Amino acid sequence: MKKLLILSGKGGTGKTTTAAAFIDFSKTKGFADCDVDAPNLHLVAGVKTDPKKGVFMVRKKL
Amino acid sequence: MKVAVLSGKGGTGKTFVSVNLAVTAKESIYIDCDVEEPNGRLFLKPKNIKKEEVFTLLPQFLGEKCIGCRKCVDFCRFNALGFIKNIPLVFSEVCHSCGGCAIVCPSGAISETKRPIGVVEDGFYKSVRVITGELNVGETSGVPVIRTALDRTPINENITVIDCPPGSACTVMESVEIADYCVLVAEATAFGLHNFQMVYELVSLLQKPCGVVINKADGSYSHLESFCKERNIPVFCRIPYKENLAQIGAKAGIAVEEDGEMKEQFSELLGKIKREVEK
Amino acid sequence: MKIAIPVNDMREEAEVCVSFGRAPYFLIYDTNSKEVVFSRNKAAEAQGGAGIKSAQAIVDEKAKVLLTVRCGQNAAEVFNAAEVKVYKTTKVTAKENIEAFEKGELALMTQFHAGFHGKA
Repeated sequence: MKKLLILSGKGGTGKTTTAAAFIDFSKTKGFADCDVDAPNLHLVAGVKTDPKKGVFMVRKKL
Repeated sequence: MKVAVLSGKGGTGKTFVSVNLAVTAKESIYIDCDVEEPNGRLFLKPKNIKKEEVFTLLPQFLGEKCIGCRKCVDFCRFNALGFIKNIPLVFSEVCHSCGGCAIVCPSGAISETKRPIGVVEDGFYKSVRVITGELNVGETSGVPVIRTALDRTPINENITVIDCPPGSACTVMESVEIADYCVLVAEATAFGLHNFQMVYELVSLLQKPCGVVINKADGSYSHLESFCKERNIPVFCRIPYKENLAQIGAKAGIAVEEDGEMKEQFSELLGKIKREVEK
Repeated sequence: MKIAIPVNDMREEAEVCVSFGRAPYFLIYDTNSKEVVFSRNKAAEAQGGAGIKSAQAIVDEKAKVLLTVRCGQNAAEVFNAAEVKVYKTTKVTAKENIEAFEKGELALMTQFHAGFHGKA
């Protein structure tokens, strides 16, 4: 499986827009929005089904 | 008066608004807390720059004193320490500089050394003091650099503009903490609204008063305005989506110095913010 | 000699876990006694430094060999200091890889990926 990474440095330059276009052209089976601070890819990537949501847990040392 | 300018989404115009506000205020301080990609200095081109290196602490082991109890390894919640063949190992990029290992060590075998992680520049553009935090590439957290940059702010200054990093996590919270007022810059698009909601939630959580500047406003997306209206968030101004502004921005020009309309709009904005802070 | 393998569950036929530091379990195989034991990986849900902590656990188990799909630079540094040899797996299950290792069919790992160390 080939993995394509899209990144930019400056914000608002079009990472998400480019990713959405590539997702559409390539008919890829999977993609991930790693901009966890301000994720927007789901708004344009044609996600039609309700996502399964899980809480991301980290274990604290006690 | 300290005003934090933030946005959630990148590229919406935090630096544009911050720089132009600082220039409009004349006797002001501009602090770039977007330490991963500080761009304010490209517009303000500060002179007489003084640089200060920012450090973080890293444990240093005095081998002969180590009794091999591993208390430090067990204590480190970041798993930055190992103990192999009776020798402690430190992974500097994983270490969060909490200093806990030195505290729990029963034999005094751990001291702390400094490790550089970034720089704070301090200079002037006309009467605007320009402070820029810059994090070294590959570092985990910009918080210490932001803290150093903000520590340079004298009290009772006319106006301090804090240009925040994008997003709504730790570095943004650190930048917003000392602010009296938050200006949320938002783009009237679906992306802009989604990320605006995230920062709005953050400033509400921090109980900071806030107002909105809509950038690249061309009137084609109304949801942002209705969101603000429903929640009684003041919209201070709408900066038009205009070619000449894009041109000024692209060559790192300062809009209020080159465009009469912008000059007027920003002095009005500054006035509105001052009135809100005095409320 | 003990061999360690990151696995997805507690069976000898378990698949090798693609992640070393975040593997749920480690299978430890003793080539002398032919005994297999499993240990739960306490680093699997660590916020950061999972590779380092997992590597430390493997070293503490006194394993001399690790068979894995991939391994990060920090963990590699721990293994290097501890003189644990890291081999790249070529088969799906832990059992198949142990057999391949014993036949001398596995090669030493030469590429270690940069750590993620919470930088993302």
